[in-house]
Amino acid sequence: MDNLNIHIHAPLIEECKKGDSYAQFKLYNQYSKAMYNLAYRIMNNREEAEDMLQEAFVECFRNLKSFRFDSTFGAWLKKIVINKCLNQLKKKKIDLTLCEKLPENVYEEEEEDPVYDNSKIFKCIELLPDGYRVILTLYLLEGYDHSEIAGILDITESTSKSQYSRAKEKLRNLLLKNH
Amino acid sequence: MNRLEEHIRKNREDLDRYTPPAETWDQISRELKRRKSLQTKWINIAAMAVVLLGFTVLVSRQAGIFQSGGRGSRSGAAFENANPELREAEIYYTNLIKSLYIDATPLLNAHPEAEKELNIDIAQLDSICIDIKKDLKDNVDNQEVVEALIQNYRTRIRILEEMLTVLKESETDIEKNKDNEL
Repeated sequence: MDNLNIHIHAPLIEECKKGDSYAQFKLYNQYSKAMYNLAYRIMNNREEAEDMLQEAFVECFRNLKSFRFDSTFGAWLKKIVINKCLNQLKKKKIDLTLCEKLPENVYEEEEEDPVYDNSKIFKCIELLPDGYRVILTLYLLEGYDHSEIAGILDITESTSKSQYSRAKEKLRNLLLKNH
Repeated sequence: MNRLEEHIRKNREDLDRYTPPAETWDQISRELKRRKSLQTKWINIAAMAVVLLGFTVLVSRQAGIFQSGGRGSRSGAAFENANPELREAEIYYTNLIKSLYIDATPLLNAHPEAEKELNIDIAQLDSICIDIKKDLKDNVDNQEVVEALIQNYRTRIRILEEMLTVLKESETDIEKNKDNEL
């Protein structure tokens, strides 16, 4: 991807670096919805997601001078949001490691796949245990690969793969049950 | 990729269902302004500390401190007894500094960046103070050396008082913001 595509908000970011509050508001408007939904999927609680969003943007604007366009702004901001949320889960002593057993009644791949409904998928993601929900969010919805997830969650790549596989099956299971 | 993954990836945007409340930006904006004003105050304090430290060094130099070689010799006990007024002043300033530290500790714990700045300034003053005290052993009756020591204590007090004022103002702002949110 060329630089033009990667840094579409570069002029806005430069204004924000100078402390321009209107530019900060515009940048916030560009990214707040995606970051709020990401925070919500990790925390599974809207109030906590709001707190995380607020803390992440304050940190983002405070440290924006250190952003050197080595990655996209969105990827940089996303990392801040994820770190804030994971730290908060740690503070709440929420353990993201899961049992080794596969969920019961696992359906075989491609067995009676229903016509998926987005509202149901949304609801069933909310019903996933914390560890499954976080890994499914990072891999399937946010596009991180397993080696990146291993770094973020401080687990091995194979744990990330197996945990994701279980999370996906659990979700499928929930969708079939709620069909 | 199975059908579920495929469906989720195709419909990714439809899964971002919530919009952050409008107040979230107000809170972010308020917090950024508060931190900016705090930062400006730190810069002012840091500038003031530099001026005061410079002045303290100047007073010390004029008193002959930092110069090699003594001007006679007295024992530590002689220094204790030779200038009771200085001893009294030292106790007064030391107690005042201790009490300011006690007041500042909880606030400094909440503002590690301020604590770091303060520690740098105090370390410089400590180093000057050691030199003055060395010189005092030899020149306890020298009024300029005594003045340099007093100036050193006053500088500490001024820096601590300024820092306390800013930290207290900052805490009050946080409380006001909390009240406004309720």
